Amino acid sequence: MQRESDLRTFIIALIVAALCSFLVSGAAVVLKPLQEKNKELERKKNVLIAGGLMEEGTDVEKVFKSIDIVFADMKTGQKTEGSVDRYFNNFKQLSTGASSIDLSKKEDIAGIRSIPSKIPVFILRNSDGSLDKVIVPIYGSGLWSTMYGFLALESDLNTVSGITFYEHAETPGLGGEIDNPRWKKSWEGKEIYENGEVALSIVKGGAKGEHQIDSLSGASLTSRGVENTIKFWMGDNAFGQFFENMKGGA
Amino acid sequence: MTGYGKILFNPLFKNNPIAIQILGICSALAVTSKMQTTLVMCISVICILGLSNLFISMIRKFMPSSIRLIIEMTIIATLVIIADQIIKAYMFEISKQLSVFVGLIITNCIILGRAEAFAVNNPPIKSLLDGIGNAAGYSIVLIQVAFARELIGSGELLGFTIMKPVTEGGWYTPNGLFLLAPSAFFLIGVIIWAAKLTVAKEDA
Amino acid sequence: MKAFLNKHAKHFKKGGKLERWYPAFEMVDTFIYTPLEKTHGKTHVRDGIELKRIMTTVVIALLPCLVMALYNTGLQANNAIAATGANPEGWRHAIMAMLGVGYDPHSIYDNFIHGGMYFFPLYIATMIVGGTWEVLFAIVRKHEIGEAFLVTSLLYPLILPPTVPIWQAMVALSIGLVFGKELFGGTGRNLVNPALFSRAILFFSYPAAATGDSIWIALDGFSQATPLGGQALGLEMNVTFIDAFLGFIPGSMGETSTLACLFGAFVLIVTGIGSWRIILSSVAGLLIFTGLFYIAGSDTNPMFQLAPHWHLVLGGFAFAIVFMATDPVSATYTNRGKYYYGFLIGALTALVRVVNPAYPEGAMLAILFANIMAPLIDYLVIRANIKRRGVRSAA
Repeated sequence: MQRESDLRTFIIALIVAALCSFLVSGAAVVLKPLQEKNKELERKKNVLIAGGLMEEGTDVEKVFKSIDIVFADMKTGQKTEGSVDRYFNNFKQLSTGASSIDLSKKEDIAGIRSIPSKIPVFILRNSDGSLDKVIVPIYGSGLWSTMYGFLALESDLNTVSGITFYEHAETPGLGGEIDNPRWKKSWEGKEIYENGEVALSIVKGGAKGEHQIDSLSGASLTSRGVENTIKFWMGDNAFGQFFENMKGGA
Repeated sequence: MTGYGKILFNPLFKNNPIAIQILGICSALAVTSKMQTTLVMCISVICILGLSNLFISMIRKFMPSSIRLIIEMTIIATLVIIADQIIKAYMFEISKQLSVFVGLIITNCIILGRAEAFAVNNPPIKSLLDGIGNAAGYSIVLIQVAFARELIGSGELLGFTIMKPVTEGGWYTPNGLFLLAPSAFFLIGVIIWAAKLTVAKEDA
Repeated sequence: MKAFLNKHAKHFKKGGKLERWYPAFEMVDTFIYTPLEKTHGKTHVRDGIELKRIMTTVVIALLPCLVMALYNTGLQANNAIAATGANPEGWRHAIMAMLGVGYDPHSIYDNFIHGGMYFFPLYIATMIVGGTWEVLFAIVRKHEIGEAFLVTSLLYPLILPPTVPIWQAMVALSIGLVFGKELFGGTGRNLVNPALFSRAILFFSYPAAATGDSIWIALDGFSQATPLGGQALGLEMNVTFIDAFLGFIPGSMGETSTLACLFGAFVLIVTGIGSWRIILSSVAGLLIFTGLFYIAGSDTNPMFQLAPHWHLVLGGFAFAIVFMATDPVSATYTNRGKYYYGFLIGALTALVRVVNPAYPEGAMLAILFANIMAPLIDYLVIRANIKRRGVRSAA
C-alpha cells in the first residue's frame, strides 16, 4: 500500500525528473562547444572545397586563418562589417527577418523570396597581398529543396574557380549529382559575365565555349535551379554591384 | 544453454525483434541506406536499450505503477538525448546524415516494449543482457538491409567503392530504388519471410 | 503432336517421374490444344468465358498500339537521323545494314524494321523474364501457369521508352513480377497491375533510363523532350493536335497514339472485358481537374496553361486507362466503385501532371495508387449499399 501513496509517487517522480534533467542539461552544456566547433569546421571546409584548397590532410583552421572575410552590403554593394558565426547560426532570421531584403517576383529568379542584407565574402590573397580568389555563399531552389553552396571566382571576378553544394535534397542519382566531382570540375574555367551581363548557362548536351555548362542528365529542373541560382547571385540584385566596386577599388 | 546465455542469444535469431516480433520497423527504413550510419545507429540502440533496461530494472521496486510508463519514457528519453548529443559532438559527419533519427530512437517500440515486458519484472543483470540481446537482434537485421541497400544502391560498402558506378567512369549502374526508403520494406519483408521459414522448420 | 503430348502426359501426372514439371507441360498442352480443365464457376471474371479467351481478346485490342509502336519508334528515330545526319552504330544497325534496310523516314518499311529493332529485343527479354518467373512459381507453388503473363509481357515493353537498356528492363520486371504479383499468389490475385508496377520500379530504380529527355528517341546522344515533358519545362509546343492524336510524337513505344488506344477501348468494351465505367470516369476526372487548373492559371508553372483536351492525347494517359486501369483483377469490382475508381485515376493524373514538376506523366502513379485503394472503395460501396437497404427495409 505504501508503494502507491500520493506523496511517494510525487517524490519518486521528482527524483527521477531532477536526475534526468541534470544529466540532459549536463550533456548539452559540456558538449555544446564541441558541436559548435564541428559546425564551424564543416562550414570552413566547404569554403575551402569551393576554393579548391581542400586536399587530403589539409589543416582547415590554418588555411582558413589566411582568408580575409568581409561583408557585402546587398543594397549598396559596399564593404561592411559583420560576424560570420552570427551569419550562419542565425541564417534563417537574417534571411527572412526584419533586416532582410524582400525580392520582387521578377527579381526572385532563384526562388528564395528574401535575402540577408549583409552576406560574408571570403577573400583569398596571394603572398604579395594581391587578390587570388573570392568565395561567396549562394543558395537557391532546385527541384525539391533549397540548395546551399559556395562559388569561388578567380581574381578577375569572372572566371569560375570552383563550386560546391553542401546542403540539398535533390533526387539521388539525378539532381543529386550536383555533388558529382566530375560535374563540379566541368565548372572550372568557365566565365560568368559577357558584356556585363550574367551569361553563364547550363545547356543540354554539347556545352560549347566559356559560358556553357553541360546539364545533369535527367535532371532538367535541378539544372535549371542551379543556373538561376548563379544568375541571381552574380546579378545586380546580389553580388553584381559588390564585384563592380571591388574591381574599381582593388 | 544457461539462463543468462539464453536471455542474451534468444533475441538474436529465434525471437528476433524485427523478423519475428515485427517491432521497430520504422527506424529500419530510414537509416539503412548506408552501412556507416546504420552501424552508428545500431551501436546507439544497443547502448540505449541495454542501459534503459538496466536502470528501469534497478528502480523497478520503487516505481509507483500509476506513473510507471512516464518514468520509463523519461529514462529512455534522457538516454536518447545524451546519445544524440554525443554523436553530434564526436561524429559530426554521421550526425548530419542521421539527422532526427537518433532522436527518434525514443519512439522505437522495441525499447519501451522490452522495458515493459522484461525489465520491470527481472533483476538488473538479466535486464541488461535482455536489452543488449534484443538490440543486437535488431542490429543484425538492420545491417543486412543496409548491406544490400548500399551495395546495390550506390555500389559501395562503408563508403568504399566495391562496384564502380558509371557516373565515375566505371561499369555499374546503381539502382536508385535501393536508396529510397520503400526498398527497405521489400528487403525486410524478404528477411521476415526467411526468418519465419527457418523458425517454423526448427519448431517442427 | 497431340498423341505425343498424351503419351507423355502420364509422366507429369501425380506420381509420374516428372510430376514437379506438370505446370510447364500443362502450359504447352493447353496453349496448343484446348485446356484440360476449363475455368469452373467464378474466378476473377464472373462469366462463362475462360481466361485464355480474355487474354486473346486483350492481345487483339493491343494490336493497333503494337503496330504504332513499331512504326512510330522507327519514324521518330529516322526523323532524328535525317535531321542531324548522324551515322548510328551498334548491333541493331549492323543487323539493319545486313538486311539492307535504310533510314528513310518516308519509307514505311524502313520505319517498321527500325522500330522493330528496338521493340522486339525488349519484348523477347520480357517474355523470357516473365516466363521464367511464372514457370518457377508455378512449380514451387504447384499451380498452373497463368497465361496472363503473355499479356503482361506485351504491355510492359509497350510502356517503355525505346532506349531503355534491356538488362535494366529485365531487372525491373523481375522485381515487379515477384513483389507485385507472384508473392500475392500469381494471376488473379495481384493487388496492382504487374506491368505498370514493373514500370514504376524501373522508374525509381534507374531514373536516368526512364525519365528525362534523351531517352524517347532511339538515337544515341539525341535529346528531345516528349511534348508533355517539354510543356512542364515551358518549351514551345512543336506538335499539332492531330499528330498527337494519331501518335506521331516521341514517347514510350506503345503509348503515343490515342487513336490506337480508342480502337483497343472499343474492342475491350464490346467484348465486356474492359469497363466503360472506368474509362469514362477517368476521362471525366482528368478533364474536370485539368479544366480547373486551366481556368485557375499560373505564371510560374507552364503546365497550368495546357488545355484539357491536350491532356487526353499527350503522354500515356489514353493507353494507361484503356489497358491498365481496366485490368479486371486490380480494378474495383462493384459498378459504383468503378466510377469512383476511374475518377480517382483521372483526378490524380491531372494533379501529378500539373502540380508536380518532377513527374510530367502522372497516369502510372495514379493508377498504381488507385489499384491499392480499389479494395477499400469496394468495401465502402458495399457498406453504403447495405446501409441504404437497411434504411429502406426499416421504413
